[in-house]
Amino acid sequence: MSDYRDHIPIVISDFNGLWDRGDRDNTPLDHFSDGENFKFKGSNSISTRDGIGISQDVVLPLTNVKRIYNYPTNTANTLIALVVTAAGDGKIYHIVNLTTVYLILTITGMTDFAFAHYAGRGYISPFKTFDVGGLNVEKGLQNEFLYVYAGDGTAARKAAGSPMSGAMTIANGAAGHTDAGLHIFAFVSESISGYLSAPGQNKSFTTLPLSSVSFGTVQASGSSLIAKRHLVATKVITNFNGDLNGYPFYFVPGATIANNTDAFLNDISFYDQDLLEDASHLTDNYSEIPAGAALSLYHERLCLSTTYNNISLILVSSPGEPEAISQIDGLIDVIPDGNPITNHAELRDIFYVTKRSKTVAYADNDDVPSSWLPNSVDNSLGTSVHGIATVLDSGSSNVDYLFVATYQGISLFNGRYITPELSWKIDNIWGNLFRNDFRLIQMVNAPIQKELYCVMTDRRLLVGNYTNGMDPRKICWTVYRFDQGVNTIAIHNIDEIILGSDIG
Amino acid sequence: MGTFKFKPFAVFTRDNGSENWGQQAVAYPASDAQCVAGANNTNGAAELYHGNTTAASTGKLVFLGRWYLDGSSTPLDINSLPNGFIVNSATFTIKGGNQWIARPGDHYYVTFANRVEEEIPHAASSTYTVIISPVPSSLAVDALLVLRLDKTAVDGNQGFYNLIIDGTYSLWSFTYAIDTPTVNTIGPSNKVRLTSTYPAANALNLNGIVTNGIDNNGNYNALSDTGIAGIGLTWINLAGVTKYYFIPIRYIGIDAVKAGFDPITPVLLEFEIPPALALLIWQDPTIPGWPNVLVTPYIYGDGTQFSGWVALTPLTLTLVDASGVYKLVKDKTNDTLYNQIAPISTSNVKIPNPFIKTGFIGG
Repeated sequence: MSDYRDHIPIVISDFNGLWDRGDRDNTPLDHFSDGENFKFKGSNSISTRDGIGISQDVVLPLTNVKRIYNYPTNTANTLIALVVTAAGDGKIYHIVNLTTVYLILTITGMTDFAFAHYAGRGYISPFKTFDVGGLNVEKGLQNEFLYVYAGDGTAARKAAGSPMSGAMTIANGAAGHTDAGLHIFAFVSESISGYLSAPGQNKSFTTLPLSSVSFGTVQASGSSLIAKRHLVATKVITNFNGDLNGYPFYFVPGATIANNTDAFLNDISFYDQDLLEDASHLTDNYSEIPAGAALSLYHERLCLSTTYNNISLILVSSPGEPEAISQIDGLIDVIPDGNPITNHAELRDIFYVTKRSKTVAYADNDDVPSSWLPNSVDNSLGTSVHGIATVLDSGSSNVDYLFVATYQGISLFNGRYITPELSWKIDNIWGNLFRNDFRLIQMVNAPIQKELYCVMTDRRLLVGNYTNGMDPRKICWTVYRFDQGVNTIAIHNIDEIILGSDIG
Repeated sequence: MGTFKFKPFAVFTRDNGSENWGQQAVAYPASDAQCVAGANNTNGAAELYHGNTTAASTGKLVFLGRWYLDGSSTPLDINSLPNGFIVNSATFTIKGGNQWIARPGDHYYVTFANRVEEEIPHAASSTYTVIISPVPSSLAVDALLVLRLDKTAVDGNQGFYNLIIDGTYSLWSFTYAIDTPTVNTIGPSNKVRLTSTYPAANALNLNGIVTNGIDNNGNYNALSDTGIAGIGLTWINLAGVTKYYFIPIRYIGIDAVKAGFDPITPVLLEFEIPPALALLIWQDPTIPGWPNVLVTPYIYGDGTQFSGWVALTPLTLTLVDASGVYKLVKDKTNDTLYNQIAPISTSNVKIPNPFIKTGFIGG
């Protein structure tokens, strides 16, 4: 008789993806001990993964693509990508659609970049990996800066800017009014991206009570990106000490040259009580913002960290003015411990800052950033430079949680790291990733597909399907392998998964 | 392939002629690199071998020495030489000043131990003689060097000074060939499989291998072993500069499932052409034949059994630059890839083999 007599068949009706933790023999019957290139269909079926197609229909498609981010401009959902040439130049392209690509920035030595978008503009910070005693450290390029891109195909420009220089002439104008006495006058330039420079062309002048003031030979900025120049002035100074930069400046209402060409501004009348909008803080701003390895937005502020010279410093802009970062009180000094800041993101009104194995929280107290106090969240878990998943086009968190790639696995973070980690089922796969290469990990969350995509250090794509629930035991894992390998990922137009491949 | 140096520390003479100088000579080197041979004394001043013009006066010099492999300063005795040690080429340099005069009619023979003597071509010189191999390939094994001087070799009261013998060697047991692919054109991420070609009894002993698990192909991934340090890949660019990429042993699959670490079974090594290699080559577009690059693999010993290297048949590495921006396309049944090397094109390829393994035994 057959050995199979009385054999009770085992029916497997569910396929719940990979299980790679502990002993291989303990793999549950509804899981796979190994597998690649299968996807989940519905709640319990599998099939071969979807194929990939090209994403550019141009004569010269981008090659050796190192990094891709999604970039929502004011008019479209687009991509921004870094390629590195054979000569070692990092080139950043704005991919508008299948056929339109703009080269917007070239920086020698750039192997990666941080990106944030705000009001349609893109903010770009070039960085690379440094070997510090065998440990890979990502920080901003030396002698490089934050750049801002208008989103229209024009070249990105260095963010912020220097005050205008040169000498202007001041004379009494037509009949008008001022508070008589000595004032210091200056001009503030405004770039096309709205950045206001520090006051320049400072000059003192004693006004008369019944006369307006007129300005001549007002210098134009050397930059073609300056759109306007605003007049600023001090209130009457009674005992002038000769320091043209040492008094508070205020914007003079209505006193703007609406171009960068006119050399005059005539017949300006104002009283000191009209000087309400303070311009003094502009003097403290960075005129050029050093490049860092991480960029994010928090409460309408642009946050940049891990510069070449300080791996523990976060530069935080004024609200709504991403390029206005005070060198005095726009800084957060995360307690130095030898480890660089790797990432930061906003969740539920809190600003979370990570190192590779630490997480710290800050809260906006409506005062300057340097007054924000740190709160230690976790002293063992953190993440890498691309280790926080982006969702759709937001560039950071999901509604109520973050996906964070920690050394223990992919974790859900809602103010604390939830255990067991989401990648609990595939602990061995995650454990085999080379920690020093965690910078290569990049994740996106596609809630439409209910899938989490994670580029791993070995250039494969880890996919977690949470159709059955966002739970470590219910999520289904698979791995996609591609002939060319993938090293970067973005999500585009709600649910289109974009993959980037370099040469090696 | 490795390099060796044979450093004699003693020499014996024996003649089959009629004259009475067939005595044991005692010779001591002034340094490791020298051998001074003289008859009945230690300074080489007296005659070692008095040749004459008669055909009957032939003799043999037997050098006893030590082997130094691959630049090592530690000598190996005869019994410690690796299995299958074979001399590929050797250079005999005798710098005897004016005391050593080679004659056009001289014949020099060399053998190792009791193997067949074979003649070495040489050049005549009034002041010194340099004998350059290649030594015939049949020479093999053992460490005694016998130099037979036929007819007139040394004239008058003269002797050998400063004998240096060095050359290259290889191991039969460390001879590998490319097993797959059967065609020699490959691309990045393609796998290359190597197999030992000499009779299995001489295969490299891999008993000491420590593994960290089995990869998707059922191969062990070695963390360390007692035989192989890794595989080097070299190529030459247009400027004539040799470029080099090294794959450590931990990234090389060893077919231990079949071999079971049994040294009797031929050892199979498998490695993947690393994308990083393609990147290096891509960054150096001055390579002849671009985008095809002739790459020579070398297997390097780790010094425990062998610290030299074995060169394999060159492979033609064809660069396929499939980098670019892609998108996942729902229900698409193949992958479409760029080929970014001019003329730029795209190609449809199959999705790399989907597979699953269940937890069942054999699953």
